[in-house]
Amino acid sequence: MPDSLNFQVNNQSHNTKCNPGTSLLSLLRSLGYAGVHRVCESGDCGSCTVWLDDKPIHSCIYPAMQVDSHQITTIEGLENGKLSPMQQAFLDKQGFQCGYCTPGMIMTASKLEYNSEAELRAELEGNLCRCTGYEAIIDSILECGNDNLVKPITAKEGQVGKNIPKQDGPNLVTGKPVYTADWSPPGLLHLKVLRSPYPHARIREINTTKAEALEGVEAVFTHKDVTRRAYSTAGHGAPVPDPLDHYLLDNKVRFIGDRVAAVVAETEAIAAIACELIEVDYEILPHAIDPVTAMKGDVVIHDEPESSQIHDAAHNIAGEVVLEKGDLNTGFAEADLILENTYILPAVQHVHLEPHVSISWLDEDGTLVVRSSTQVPFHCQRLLSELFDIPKEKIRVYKPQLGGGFGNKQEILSEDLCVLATLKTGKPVQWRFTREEEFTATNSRHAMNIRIKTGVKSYGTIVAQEMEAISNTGAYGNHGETVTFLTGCFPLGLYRCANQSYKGTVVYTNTMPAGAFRGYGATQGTFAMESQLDEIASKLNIDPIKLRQQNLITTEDEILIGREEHFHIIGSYALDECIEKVTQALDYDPEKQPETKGHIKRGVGFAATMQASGLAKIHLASVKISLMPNGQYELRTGSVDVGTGSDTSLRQIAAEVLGTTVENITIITADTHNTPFDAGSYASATAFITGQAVNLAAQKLRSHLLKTAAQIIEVNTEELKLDEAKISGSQTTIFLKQLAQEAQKRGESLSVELEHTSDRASLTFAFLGVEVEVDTETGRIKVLRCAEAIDIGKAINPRICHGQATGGLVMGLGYALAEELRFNEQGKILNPGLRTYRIPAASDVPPMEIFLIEKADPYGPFGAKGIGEIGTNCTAPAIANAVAQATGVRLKQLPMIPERVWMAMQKLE
Amino acid sequence: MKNFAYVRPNSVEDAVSRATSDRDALFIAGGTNLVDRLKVFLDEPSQLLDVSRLAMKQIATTNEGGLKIGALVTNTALANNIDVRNNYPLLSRAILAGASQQIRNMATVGGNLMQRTRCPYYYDTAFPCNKRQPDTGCPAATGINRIHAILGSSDRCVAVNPSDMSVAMVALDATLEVQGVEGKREIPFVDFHRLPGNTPERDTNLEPGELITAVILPPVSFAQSGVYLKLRDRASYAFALVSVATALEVSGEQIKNARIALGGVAHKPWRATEAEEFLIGKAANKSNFEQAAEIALKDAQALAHNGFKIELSKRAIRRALAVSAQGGGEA
Repeated sequence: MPDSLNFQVNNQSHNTKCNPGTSLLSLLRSLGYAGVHRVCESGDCGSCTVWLDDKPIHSCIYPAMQVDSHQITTIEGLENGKLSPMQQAFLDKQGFQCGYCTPGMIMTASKLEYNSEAELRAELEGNLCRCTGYEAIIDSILECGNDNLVKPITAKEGQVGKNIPKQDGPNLVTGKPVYTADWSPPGLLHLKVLRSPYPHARIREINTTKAEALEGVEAVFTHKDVTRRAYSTAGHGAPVPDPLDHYLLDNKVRFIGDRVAAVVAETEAIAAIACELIEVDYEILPHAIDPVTAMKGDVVIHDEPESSQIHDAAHNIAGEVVLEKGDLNTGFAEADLILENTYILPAVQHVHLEPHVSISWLDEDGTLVVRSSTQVPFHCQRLLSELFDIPKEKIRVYKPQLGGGFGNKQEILSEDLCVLATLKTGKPVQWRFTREEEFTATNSRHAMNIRIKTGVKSYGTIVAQEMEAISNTGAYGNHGETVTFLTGCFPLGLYRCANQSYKGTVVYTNTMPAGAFRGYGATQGTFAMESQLDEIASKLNIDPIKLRQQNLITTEDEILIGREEHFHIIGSYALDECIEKVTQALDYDPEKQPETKGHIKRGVGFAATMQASGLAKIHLASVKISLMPNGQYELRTGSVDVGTGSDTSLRQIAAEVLGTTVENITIITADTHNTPFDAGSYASATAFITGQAVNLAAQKLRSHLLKTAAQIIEVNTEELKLDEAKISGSQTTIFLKQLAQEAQKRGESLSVELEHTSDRASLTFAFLGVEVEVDTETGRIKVLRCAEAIDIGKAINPRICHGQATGGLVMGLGYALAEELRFNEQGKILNPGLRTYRIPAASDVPPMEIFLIEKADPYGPFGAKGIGEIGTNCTAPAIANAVAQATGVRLKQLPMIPERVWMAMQKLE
Repeated sequence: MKNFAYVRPNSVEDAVSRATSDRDALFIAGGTNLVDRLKVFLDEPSQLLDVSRLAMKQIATTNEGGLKIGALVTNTALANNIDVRNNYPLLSRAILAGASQQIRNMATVGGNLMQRTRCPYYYDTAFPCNKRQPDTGCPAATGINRIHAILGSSDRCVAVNPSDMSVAMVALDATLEVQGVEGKREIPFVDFHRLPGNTPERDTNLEPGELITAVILPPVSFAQSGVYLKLRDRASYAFALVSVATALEVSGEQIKNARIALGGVAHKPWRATEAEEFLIGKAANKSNFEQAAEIALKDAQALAHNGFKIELSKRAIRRALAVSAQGGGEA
């Protein structure tokens, strides 16, 4: 064995020793190269790409021992006084959202050789992005080297509606240490959890002696070490609607991967070895992984008396949703055609590239600090306070830059045990999920079986709709009922119909829990409903577009189904225009017969959807905006930029109102000790609710500034004007800096803090059309092109909105064509890695045309509505409809993998 | 979990001698598959013998007009080699159909041929597996087995070999040069990988301690007609559900020579010799291709979830042969 390794990183010599099992990734991160990101650790995603002697490699599967005498280049080494051309191109074309894939993407792209865009996409197959849908990345690479001088947008031009660059861009393209795991206090301990090998078992005895005796182990915790207190991992405002059925550590395990015990040690490796030394005597219980079996109640998953808010624990029913309108019997009696189908939706995973990671420690004054990758810092603070009996003011939760979340970080999954360990040891503790844990021990989208029975008149009017969803919530009920509510509420609500009923049954099984995931149940329901409509259109021989137009709600309609407390409303409506744009973009001609060329068949398909902007009356956002002594502004908000760019959009809103530019507004976000409360970033709420809070606060501050200036310079407020630098009247001017200092002298605060909830959650609408090609010999579906129009109200930042649309669409593409968690009969997930659970790569993605339809909404800031989730809903049903048009085969199960398509075609023949 | 040592042998002989005296030692070159396995403790070696710096990185023309490819040539270098692209386009395409740029930059020819199955049950130590631990059972045989073997499997193992490169190599009649303590020997590629039989723990016919040093490709006059058709769940970076390598020598209407090899269907890259023999002397037409495909798959047996692969393989063979008959290219 060589005594030590001599190698260079970014032309700097290193001489180090390491264990033969160390990866180059770990070695580089330990040397401080934090731009090398840890994601899959299996050579599948490219986030850790570095150059070895100028060739891109995955550093996660390169043994550090082999690096001796080699030259390594990391993202940190690309800058040479200025950004490299590829970094500059990514910055100019904004080829990133959360930024977690960005350093690897840039390292790979810098060395690519290609002759066409198709070749470029194929060559990029070793790098995955979950946020952008690759469009902005491909644009960046194609533009590299071209001189695209981006002109700053001035205050005069206004800030809202402009493509202001995402303000975190420079940090992201240079790989700065901005994410949770990139910094930690000294003396950090690492936590690992022993996970259950059984789907359902009671822990009879648990012996931690051997684990505790291992050198480097600080402490081991089991259910005996914690107060038994039921809670939900869901990040919801109190009172939480979810079943309280989860425990810090429990004497029972309910799925393969459930927590058994926690070890805290000097290194992750020691903690992992110690986990293996824990001896557990399990009483293995019968299990149920299928909801229909589970509902029989032969196996009771939550039999503990401490759990509450469970609908029917004896039958494993976590929750039940019933929505009714009119009378079904009357409706079906009127119908000329009654069609009934069942649609099957799989469990899929979020695959945010940054895993769940939390670090906790005690500050000098005894404050418990939690640095975490979370979408809901305030809910997290509240839950920790309840779990550990610590007053909220003694707990500070904050988040650094987030590497994606998609709903999976609207769960409190990693903070709780970290805090337990810090409180028990008094030391800083980090818990970082492995990729396998992300796949097997976090949350999935709810797998569902949805039955719809529809009654229609021969001319296409829907007269009755009955929908039933059986929703598999896994071992815990977090988000179960609320997700399942939206499965019925949005898809049914989208179509006018006097007689409707929906029943959603949320069922516990011994599988990994399901939770919040972009689209939040509407995605599943939309697949069922939009497939069903095309089936009806085909049976009645009506153009599916016409059928939709005939039945879609319009501004004249009230939403027929839903719960009063959710207060969804049509604030603005441009779905008709969306349909027009999309059908035009695809040159849709209902008379045109689908094309067939040898074994290739082509078809087009469409789908419509709606999704609310936040939760009316529930989603609370407070913001604070101030003029600082330096004449610039500071915006404080508790909201979380999950990677979308909301920190930039929020500043645009403030800047527009204050007549300035985003550069003049510092933003401080999502820190329970330093920002006012915000419910967090989920439910497409940030632009609509926090954005409106910012808008209102900025308006108030503006008046306040003018009034204060009027007093100081002794003129009427009415004659004053605010611009970037000053407030001026016809005669006099006061610079903002002067104003701030003058106010300070007078003891006046130039600061506005404001709380906002929306009485109404405006509905965003979207319409998608796709053209597909089906290879009838292999069953392979290829999406040739697609066009989506989103009725967004107002695009605060069109480029950011565009990114939400393309990213959502491609996430939907994975759901449609490839992604599925595969369970064995024990409920064990068989594809817990990015090689076997594959998300779309650049070459899987078709050209996308996105239309942002702007028709101002009366309730959102500058007319804006939410856009975070809606893009995901339409892809799968539009593709299924296109396949049906092309081949006559109706696919009722996702994902539409080639063998399913092919077998369905065989059956038809 | 146990610690292992890292050693850098200074010659092929040194490497082979160390590996022969320590049966728990493993060679490492690019490490792209081995590191994966080490991470989940599928392999727990006593030492890693790093052969990556040894001098086996040349691609040279042989006296016969073929190529001798050093075992440490990277996938990238091999796929882009001008002689390979011109004379064995099928090999170049097969390599580029696998993995990613970053992996191809690290992966070596020798390592590629040694990569082990991606059967999820083999990969997950929570399951029993005859390949991992003889005589413990094969959960894949009765579990989720859509990616598993339809040809040549045994009741002990239904895993498939994942290598794209190997499918091309077997179609091109390659020979392996290996070195053991006794010296060098050659193994015809078609005999290199094994069927599982009663010893699924053995993937190849390498003897303990032996190291692959080179692959020799004979000249193949009709290799221009080569086709590599890979069918998988998505456009990029996936192991083949089924892959087919074909090449045809057609003179006038008549087939003079045929090569058909299949990947993703068996424990080894599968050469469809009988189907090839059937085609010789026949006309290059659809009906003969159909019959050849039937012959190639006549012994195929479906498990619970992989029945579709039989028909898919037949269709893939037909399509690939049709393209080969037209002179080759993308299928």
